Amino acid sequence: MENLYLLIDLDRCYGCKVCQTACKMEHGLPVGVQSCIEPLRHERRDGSGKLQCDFVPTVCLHCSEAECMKACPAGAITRDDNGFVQISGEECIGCGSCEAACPYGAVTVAEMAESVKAVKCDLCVERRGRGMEPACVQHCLGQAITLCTGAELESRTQGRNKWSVGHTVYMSSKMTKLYE
Amino acid sequence: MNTRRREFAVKLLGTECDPDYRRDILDSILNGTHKLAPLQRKTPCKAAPKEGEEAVPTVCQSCHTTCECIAYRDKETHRVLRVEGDPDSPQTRGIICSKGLASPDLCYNPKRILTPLKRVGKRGEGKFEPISWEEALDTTAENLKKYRSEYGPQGVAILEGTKRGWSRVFSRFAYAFGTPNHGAAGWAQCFLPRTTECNITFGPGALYSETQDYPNAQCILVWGCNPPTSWPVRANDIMETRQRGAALIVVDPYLSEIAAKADIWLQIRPDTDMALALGMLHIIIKEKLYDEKFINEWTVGFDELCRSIEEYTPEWTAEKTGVDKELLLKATRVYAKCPASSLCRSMALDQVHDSLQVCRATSILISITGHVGKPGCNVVGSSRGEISQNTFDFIRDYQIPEEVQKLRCGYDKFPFLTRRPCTIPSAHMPTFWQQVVSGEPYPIPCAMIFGSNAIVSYTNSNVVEKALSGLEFLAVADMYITPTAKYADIIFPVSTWLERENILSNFQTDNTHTLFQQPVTHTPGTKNDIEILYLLAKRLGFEDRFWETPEALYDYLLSPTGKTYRECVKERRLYAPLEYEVYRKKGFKTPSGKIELYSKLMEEKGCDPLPRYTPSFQSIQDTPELAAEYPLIMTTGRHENAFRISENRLNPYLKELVPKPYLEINADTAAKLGISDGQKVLVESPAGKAFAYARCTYGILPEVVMGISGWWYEFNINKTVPWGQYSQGIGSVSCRGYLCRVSPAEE
Repeated sequence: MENLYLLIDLDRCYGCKVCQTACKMEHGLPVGVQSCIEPLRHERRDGSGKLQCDFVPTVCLHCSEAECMKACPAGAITRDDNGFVQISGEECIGCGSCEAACPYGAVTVAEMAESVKAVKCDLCVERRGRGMEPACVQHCLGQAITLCTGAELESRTQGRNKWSVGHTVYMSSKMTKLYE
Repeated sequence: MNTRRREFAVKLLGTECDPDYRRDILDSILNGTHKLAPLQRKTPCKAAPKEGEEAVPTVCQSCHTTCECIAYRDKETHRVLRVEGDPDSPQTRGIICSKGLASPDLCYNPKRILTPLKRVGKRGEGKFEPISWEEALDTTAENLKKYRSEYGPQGVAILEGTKRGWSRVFSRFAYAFGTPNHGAAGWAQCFLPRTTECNITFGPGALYSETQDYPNAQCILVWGCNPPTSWPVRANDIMETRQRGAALIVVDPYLSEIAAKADIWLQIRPDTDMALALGMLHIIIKEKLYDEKFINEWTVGFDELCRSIEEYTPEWTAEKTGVDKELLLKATRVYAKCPASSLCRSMALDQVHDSLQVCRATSILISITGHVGKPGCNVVGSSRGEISQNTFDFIRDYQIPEEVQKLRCGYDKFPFLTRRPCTIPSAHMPTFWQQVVSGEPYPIPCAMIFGSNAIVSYTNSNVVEKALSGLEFLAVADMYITPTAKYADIIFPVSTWLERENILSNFQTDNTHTLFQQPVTHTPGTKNDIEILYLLAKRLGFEDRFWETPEALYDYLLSPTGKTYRECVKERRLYAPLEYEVYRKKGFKTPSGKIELYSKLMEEKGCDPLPRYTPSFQSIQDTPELAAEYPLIMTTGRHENAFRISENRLNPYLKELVPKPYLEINADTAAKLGISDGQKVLVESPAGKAFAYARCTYGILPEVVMGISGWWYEFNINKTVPWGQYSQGIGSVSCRGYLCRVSPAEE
């Protein structure tokens, strides 16, 4: 299977939080458990002292060097055929090692219906199996989030500033230096 | 809060921004070379249920946008499992907002009322016992009759909330019953200033200038409106067009979600919208940026307008609004020079001290620049073949005899609210509530409130609460025991939108489609308001003018199309193409047949025929004595992405999104007041006090704070909104710019 990428265009994100709710509903996450995706507002002064305000949908970066995978004692975290990092619910023992290891706050251990499990973005693998886009991609008001192939990634990011450590790619034209 | 996520977001964004980002867009509009990139739309796809589920297409009614959606239900039990956007919808192209996504809780929240209730404790105490529908309806009808015969129809108030599928049936009920005191928390505060103004400026049937042709717009001017939190389809359209190269200009005192994406953000002081509009008109006229041919052909009063804007120079405007003069000039030139500019205005303009007039000023702006009816502009007059209850023939307001109409609260003062051309001739609500308290000039002891959490939704809530506590009989229809329903004698449990039929056909929904909602599930014990009104009408002897079932009503409304409601549900939607420049065929239905820049009608009713500047009722400069004690300017009325007005406050998924009632405050001001980010604060004005939690920002001026309305009980910011002065002609309360003070509070 081909490599896929979660591409996030920061210039298009309104911070409306629709992705956050769509993800929670799709994954049946209980109230109090963090959504796998969460847009955060950030105000700051740019180099010239001008006020800037942007929004970042924070989500699993599907790292090439995935700390969560290394930390998992049960071997429950693997890479799928598209390149995304996946947690197997059956093998997860809910120990929280992955949560502690992830530098980006993308994984959380939550009390789900049957048992305590690690939860993070799975790119809506079940939903895509039904022929639909991931919940955040479909519902995003700014169409800031897309799922794309390697070729599409190349054409969509052309001329844009981008940053990635794996299969989640952030891009922007406004921000000239992502991840300082 | 997950601190690692926060740290990541901060690092990712960094501090380096391209100073020339999107500058070429403004430049190319100014030099006349601007083009939009081609429109590329996502491929539609079909919604796919999981095993054991059924996908039911319907329309979300969590707000006025009304997005086509898919409700997934259990095949056997019909329990609603999820609500999602419909990826096959031409209206939404798959989106829906958090309110829609979290909708199943509306049906299944354990606090939902599933049987009629009767008060057993003291009024307002919140103690009720279940009764039968029969008893609830009989008791209410008897009381309505009793108070009408003892006090006259004016002694019984019939009040509603935001627009639903039954709203004008409710107006029809009020006028059939005979009361002149029909009203709502919105209306003069939301919607009626804009619709009434359009009736005045463009003529009846112009269908509001709110029909924007976003896909073809090269410049979008968003004024007092934040679509990402309150208008999802519009937000989607605007972002799509922005990314294709349209310039985005935003007028907002706060760095809102949409303002954060603006190419030019005009950060005005609250309630100085009129100064800005007049300043823009001045620049357009002085720099001859207007469309002379269009003005000559299609407007009246341009010469008078030119004379009236003389004093509103860019320097004057900059001083009044706080907007940088160069930015003002640039924004005005871009908007006016661009051949395809759409103006998107909303509720903020209904809630300033000169609401009707400032709506007029923005319509004049559209008109003299020729941005009327053309591709990419405000397509005034285009019809989507409305299946509408919003007609005088439907509401039958003429049933109220003239001498009774004159008893309508506020009749003498507010001609554009209390009678036609106002689209719903209705009572002036601040006058009304004060009269309920005082009993002068006549008593109003009885009320029926459907779909409105009045205590929270009206301004100056302490007076509203006092009025409700003094009523002799109150019937309320709602899904929950809201702070308002607590004061009721009888509560009718109503169905949710997931259990209803409805026809959605208006500018807020879509420019070209009429949509059809169908029930996804059924909750025993509850009824649609349409059925309740029929059953009450039956007891009052005028059921011949009402409909026993919602379907019967919608069949009636659809009869001109030759289709039934069921047929339309199957087809999902009716389509009518966007029609440009309709006035070339039909003219404008004003007395002059043209756009009335100068309005004789306004003049006849004692209002300014042309908009002019008047200072806010309260401001630091104009009311210095009040400002000495209350030094901050409050603007409130904004909606957040999780809620519309006071709704959904019991939904745990939405509460999680916005867990606290925030008060946006400038970080430096907060520091001076000894307030830290997230701290509980007390907001006070001479009208009352409310609590909130400070959210420090640099996206608001140091002298301004922004409260969020809709929170219940001690967090209800509407308690601080003063009454006493109202907008000319229509009587809006200014909740976007009054004085207050803020101090740290005990947790």
